[in-house]
Order: sequence, then structure tokens, then C-alpha cells
Amino acid sequence: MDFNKFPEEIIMAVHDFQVKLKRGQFFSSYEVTMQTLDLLVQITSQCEWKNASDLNQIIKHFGKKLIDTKPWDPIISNAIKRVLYIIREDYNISTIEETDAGIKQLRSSQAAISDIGNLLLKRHTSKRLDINRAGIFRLLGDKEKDDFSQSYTDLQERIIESINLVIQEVESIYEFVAEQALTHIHTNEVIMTIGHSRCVEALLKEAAENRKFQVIVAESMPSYAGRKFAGVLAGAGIETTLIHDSAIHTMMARVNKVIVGTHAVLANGGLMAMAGTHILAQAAKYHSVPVIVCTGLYKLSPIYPSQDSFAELNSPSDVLNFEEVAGDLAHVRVINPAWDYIPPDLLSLYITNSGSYMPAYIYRLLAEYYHPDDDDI
Amino acid sequence: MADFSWVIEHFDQIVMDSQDNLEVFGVIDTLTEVLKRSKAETMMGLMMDIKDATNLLIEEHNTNSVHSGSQLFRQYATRAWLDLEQNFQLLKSELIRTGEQFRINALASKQKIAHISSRFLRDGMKILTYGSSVEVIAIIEAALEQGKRLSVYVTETESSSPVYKFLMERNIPVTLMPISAAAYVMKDVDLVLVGAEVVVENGGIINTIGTYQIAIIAKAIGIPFYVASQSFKFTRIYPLNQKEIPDNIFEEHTPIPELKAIIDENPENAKMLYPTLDFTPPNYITLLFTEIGVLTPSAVSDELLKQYRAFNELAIN
Repeated sequence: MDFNKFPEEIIMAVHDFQVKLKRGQFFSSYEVTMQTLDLLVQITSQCEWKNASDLNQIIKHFGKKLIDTKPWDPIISNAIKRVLYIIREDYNISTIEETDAGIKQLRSSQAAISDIGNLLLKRHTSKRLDINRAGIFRLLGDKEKDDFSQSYTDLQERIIESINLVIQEVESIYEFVAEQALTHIHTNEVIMTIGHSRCVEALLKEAAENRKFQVIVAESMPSYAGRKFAGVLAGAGIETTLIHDSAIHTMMARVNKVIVGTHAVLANGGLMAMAGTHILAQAAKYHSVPVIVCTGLYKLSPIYPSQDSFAELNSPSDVLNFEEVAGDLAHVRVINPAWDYIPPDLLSLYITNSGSYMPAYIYRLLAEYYHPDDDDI
Repeated sequence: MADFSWVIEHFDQIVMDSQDNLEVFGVIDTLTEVLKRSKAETMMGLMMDIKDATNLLIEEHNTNSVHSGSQLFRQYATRAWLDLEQNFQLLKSELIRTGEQFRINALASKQKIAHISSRFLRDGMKILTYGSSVEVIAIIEAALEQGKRLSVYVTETESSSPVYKFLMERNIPVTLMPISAAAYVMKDVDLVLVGAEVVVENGGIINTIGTYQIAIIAKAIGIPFYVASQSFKFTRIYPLNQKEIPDNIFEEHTPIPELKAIIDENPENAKMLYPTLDFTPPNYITLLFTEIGVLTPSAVSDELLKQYRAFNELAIN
């Protein structure tokens, strides 16, 4: 595969995206995901490819470039792995449909059993390698490097349609999350949160239209995202209280529920969330307060903690201003970690665009979005 | 009944020849051979032959591996029968082909486990391992090839000699300790990695006696407890406590001289309990490394049920 023969447009688009990512021009995972998916649709429709295997290679080639700009961030690789899964699924569907049509035709023309047999075998193999049937049976049978070399004329259209469905799904997450607001938020409840999550915002605003409740927001040093969020909630007519992060444990005794957003959801049901969330979760556990995570499923990542570390550090000047570093302070090391890992046993529930789930159930959803063979890009 | 006199010998030969001496290779290979020699003309006939051969094997070697290996083969046959629209010739040739492919896939699956799980071993980590598992050895080997420096704690038991030998040969810093020191060292260790004889339906494992103990200590101190196992060890049994471990062997053990002297004075009073296997419930296990992927214990029953769905559809047995 000659990677230099791609349309100039595509190479430029990928390069532009890389630059924006490096410069930190995207603040939310939502934006990053939408842009990545749009780019992948562009690549699928404008690059030349004969079969699924070629497309797979192309996506991996560009995907790797994007992931390398921010290797610790699972969001970009989620979008790419999602599209790779779509390619596999659609290829399988095409194969099964074509063999079904072929078998029907051979039957009606009363062809020899051996001809029909070949198609039957092909369909059986394809079904066996099919995502939902994989597993222990993979040990019996052809080595699972699927041969995606068959060309189908409708494959490109099918794949683009599938990716567009994913884009629509991501666009509508706030809507679907908000639908579940009244099931979980009740009158006179005291809810605690941290940072500024758009999902949590949508949930709380929807509940506020029908019920009266209180929200306590932790100001989320050093980004102070909580301060902004408190303003947004008060603006929506919700009774809001702002506290500093050290008061989380103090106030927890009066809290009914903790609702937080997250940056990514890990394969074991744990979270990669903003620094400070773990403290909130531990305090909640101590007081037996349930912790609810509000998120879109595009954040679900097929990685486990301790596989990749979350050692992304934000700028230390958020904690200690550059101007203040004089005298003895000049010898002090300042660390500003960006993320916390929260283990699944501290969490009670996930509210997502496709429904509510227990943390122990999250692994099942992985199989609907990702394929283990795509783990290494 | 057809002639199955060659079955046991064939099985023993395959197990001896196979790398890792795995019984499951013996089972699949033997059953594939049964298919090849079978004179049956129908699906029922074929399944009868397989069933008879399996019964012979179980009589001679009543182990979990033989049970689960033969179940796997029968279920795959059923699934293939449905997919191939009950065409006998196609089924027979497909089953023979997949049976022969099994050994290659099983060996490759060990490498796959090593590749997937070596990511969990980071440079400079201290590992506690228990018993001897070929999967664990493969994982450590893969991590070493990636240039990671590891140090390992090994318990002084008979079962750990293969892994101890492997580590010494590779000049890996290895510390020998008695199993009674497991709680003592646990805080210094980064993770615990063990194999499994059998993975049961709820995601728990049956393994060498002492595994459960170490799992409890790991949980109490907050150290991750990982199990490495190939997927053909998954079995549909559901032990609820230690007494429900099927075919647990209780050893005849000679006590140390100091105690033996006391026992000899009063032999009728002396009761001894030396089980060889224990059951570790799933809530003590952090993750399972299999070639299907990294699984949480809850995911194990899903994988098993996928295997069994077609079997129940046809209910051939």
C-alpha cells in the first residue's frame, strides 16, 4: 500500500487535525470524537481502496498518526477502534448476505451439492469468525486473522452509513441522558458534583424543570471548573452551593447522591476522570453515598488501568504562578496531575445515552463497540 | 459399538508428546481421530461414536480437562451441524479440519495471552507467583523480551519448581519464601500472577491449594490478583464452597519427625487434612488473562454461555 498516493486534501486535513490536537485547541472529548469521526468519513469516501483489508490499513495508518499526538488519551483511539469494528461488522454482513443470495440462486438452479457446499462453508466460517460468535470456539478452526480481501460494491456505502449513525449517536447523548433525569433525581435531594461536565449539566437542568433540589459543587482546584459550573446551575434556577475541595468530606454527611462526569470509562468499569474525583468517590463511600457517573458511551475505552498510566501532567503554573517562584519556592517541585483513576467498586451506577448500567456490566458493552484484534494500532 | 481399543493409548501418546503435556490436546486429537476412522453415515451415528470414545477416556482419566475438552468438541460439532444445514459430508470434513487446527491455535493462544498481558507488567515491578503455570511463564518471558526488568517472589513448594527453574535460567532476581510469608511480603509486591487448573462459571478458579489464601491476603492489602488461563479451561461447574470442588485429591502425607513421634504414640486420634486443590471465588480476582482477551470475572460466564447456546438449541447429548 503506497501511503503517498492519498489525495492531498486528506493528508492536509489529517495534518491540520494533528496540529490542533497538539496545541490543545480542543477542550472536550465530545469535540475530539466528532472531529475524528468526520475525518474518518472523509478518508473512507475519498481514499481509494479495493476491499475491507485495504481500508483497514488506511484507517490504521492515519489513526496511528492521530493517536501519537496524545498517546495517553483514550478518546481518539476509541473513535478509531470503533470505525475499525464497523468495518469488520459490515464486511461480515456483506459476506453473509452475498453467500445467502448465492446459495438461494444455486438452489433454484439445482446446482451440484459441492458448489452449494462451498458457499455454506464460507458462510459458516464467516459466522464463526463473526464478532458475536467468537470466543472459545476460535480455538477450533482457521487461524483468526480474518481475510478481509473480498470486494463488495456496497461496502463503502454501508460503512459510511454506519459511521454516520455513530456520529448521530454521539450528537444526541445529552438528550438521552437528560431523559433519565427524573428517575434518579428527586425532590429535596442534595447532590454533590465536581468540575464541569456537560452531561451532568444536561441531567440537572432537565430535572430542575420539574423538581426542586440542591446542588453542592466542589470548586475543582486548580482549574476552578466548578466555579463556572456553579454559575451555570444557578443561572438555570437551581439552588447551588460552592465549596472548596477540602470541604468535600465535611459536607458529604448531608449529601444524598454524588453525580460526576468523566473523561473516559475503562474496560473494567473504572474511570479516568479529572483529578479530585477519587477523593469525592472515597468520601462518598465512607458515608455510604451512591456515586453516579453520567457519560456518553463513546467514552468507553477497551483499556485497563495499569496497562497505560495516566501520567498526564498539566502546567504547574496553574498551582504556583511563575511570578511567585522566588526565593525558597524556587526549590519546590510542583506537580499538577490531570487525571485520577477511580476503581469500579467505588461506583454505583452509570447513566449513559443507551441506558443505566452497573459498573460490573460495562465490559459487556465493549463487545458491541470494539474488537480485541484492534487493540494494537 | 465400533472398535475403540486404540483410544486410550492414542490419548496418552499425544499428551506425552505435546508441549506442556496438556490433556486437552489429547482429547481433541483423539476425538478427531475417532471422526476420521468413524464409519457412521449420519450425524447421530457420529455423535454416538464421539460419546462412546469420550466415556472411555473419562473412565480412564476423570479430569476436568478431559470433560471440558470433549464438551467443547461436541458443542462445536452441534453448532457446525446447524450452520452447514445438516449436510453430513461437509460437517465431517469441517470437523476434521478444525480438530487438526486446534493444536496450532492452542499453542498460538499461549503466545497471545503473553502478548496481551505482558502490558500489565511494567519495568521494575515485583511479582508474586504461586504454583507453576505455563501461561505465567510465557507472560514473564514476553515481558523480558520487551526489555522489562522484573523481580519475582516464588513460594517454596513442589509445584513451583518449573517456574523457579525458568527464572533462575534467565538470571531474573528471584526470592524464595515459604507460603506462610505471603502476608509478610504482600505489601512489597506490585501484583500477584497465578495460573489456573480450571476456571469455573462464576469467574472463580480452582488451583493448587494455597491460591485462595494468597488471594485473600492480596485483597486485604490492596494488591491486584491476576489469573492467566487459556480459554479451554473454562468449565460449566459452579462450586459454592471448598467442599464442592469436584475430584479434589487428598494426599497421604507423612508429617515431620517431631510430630510423627507424637502421632505414633496415639495413631487412632491423628486426623490429617491435605487437600491438593482449593477454590478462589471471583470477588478476589481482579482480572483474567485469556486469549479471548482480558476479562473481568463477570465476563467468564458470558463466554461460556456463548459456547453453550447452540448446544441447548439442539440438545443432542
